[in-house]
Amino acid sequence: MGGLARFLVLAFGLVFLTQSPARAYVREVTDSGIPVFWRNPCITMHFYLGAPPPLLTADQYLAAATQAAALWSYPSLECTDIRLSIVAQAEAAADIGYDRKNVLVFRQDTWCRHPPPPQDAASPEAPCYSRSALAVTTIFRNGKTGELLDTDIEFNAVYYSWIDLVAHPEIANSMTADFQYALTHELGHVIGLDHTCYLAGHSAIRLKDDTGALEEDCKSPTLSSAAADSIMFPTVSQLDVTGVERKRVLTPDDARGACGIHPYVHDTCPSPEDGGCSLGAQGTLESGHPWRNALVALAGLACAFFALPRLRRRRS
Amino acid sequence: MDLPLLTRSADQIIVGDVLSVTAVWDRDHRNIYSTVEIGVRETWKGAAPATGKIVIRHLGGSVGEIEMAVLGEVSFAAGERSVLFLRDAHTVGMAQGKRRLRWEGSSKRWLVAAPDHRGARVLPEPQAAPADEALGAEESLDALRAKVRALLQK
Repeated sequence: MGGLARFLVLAFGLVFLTQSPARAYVREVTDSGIPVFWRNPCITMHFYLGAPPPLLTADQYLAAATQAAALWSYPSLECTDIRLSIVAQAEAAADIGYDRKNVLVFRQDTWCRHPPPPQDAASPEAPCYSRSALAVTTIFRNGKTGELLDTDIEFNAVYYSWIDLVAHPEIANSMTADFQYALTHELGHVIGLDHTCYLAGHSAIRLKDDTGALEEDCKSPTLSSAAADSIMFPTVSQLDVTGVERKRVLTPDDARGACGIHPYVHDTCPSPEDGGCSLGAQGTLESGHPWRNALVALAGLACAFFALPRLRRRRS
Repeated sequence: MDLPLLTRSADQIIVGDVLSVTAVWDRDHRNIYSTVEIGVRETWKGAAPATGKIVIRHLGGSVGEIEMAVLGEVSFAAGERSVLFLRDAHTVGMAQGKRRLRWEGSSKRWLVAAPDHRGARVLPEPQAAPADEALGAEESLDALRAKVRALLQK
């Protein structure tokens, strides 16, 4: 084998070693099996950083969250319409619940539900989460349509310390977790992805992946590397720096999942650099007066007319 | 959570059938809570209920068109049978405190599923026994009962 051929074989080998081949992704579904989606994939997460947990500063948490959000978003992912944005809030924490405000908080005092349930609704004390749960994501969705309505993420800073494992591997131990890695996974749930495989016997139903096949068994010896390497693999193991670096990027299946749920169609978020032509949250045709819907439709047509040449340029 | 920790943490361990599931919004219309009525068939730890029933509650559920899913939290469906590790009317460790049962016709025995980790993002418990991984496999109800009883006698 000549030198060039050997180089090419090595180069291709390295590509396949470092990136799992695309295989399948699994979507979150409603209780009745309807795949979930955002009507408007411009998703804002309000990150409460008034009193962040130690080991990272508020700025470092915000930078990590912004990077995690960007991974799932256009333009990092050119085939999707998702625009996840992180907005820092000055308050230390917020309550979790259905208010159409997506929240990202650290729990540092008690790893329990905030607010506790009112006396008339449930038990007299707040239900607490499992201490081994790194984070808990709460999702509100329309069970009939699959539309996602509200997603809130709580991070367990009671039993775990959140760090940047890549920058400071020396402080990693069994009670630390890489914040960016964990958030990237949770944001996968926020955009509508489920885990890449199922843990045998654990769930009432075994979901199907996007190819129509039953999702893989996480504990199977034949589990594909694509499922194991995905950021949406269900459990966390103690990873070294290389492992965390690999988990901070999307695999081809993760990317296909984001683009499959929310394919790139057109600009949907106001953006200064794009001139702000958009159909944002106010532009969705949900309900309201007929004249308002007509105005929104006209605005959308105008937007599409002026945006089309720009989009053609972008796609080419 | 491994079996010793689950057993130690629970104030009540039962085998029961789900009789009904009722979900309601809280007073502020921000969270949905489900109330689950369980018909108790066996009591492994704690006092057996005089009525033969217990009521447990958990976050999440469906009211009208709105579904609230708390990833990693337990959920129930009417008619299903399970082993439940309970504390203060909640499952211990969210979904980890529920082990679904299924009837295996060929061997004529109940099999216990591993805990439902769908949605959970978990690290191993710092104090968890190495045998925690055994939770990943099905086992017979008889085998689990024997293990729990042995743990309770320690």
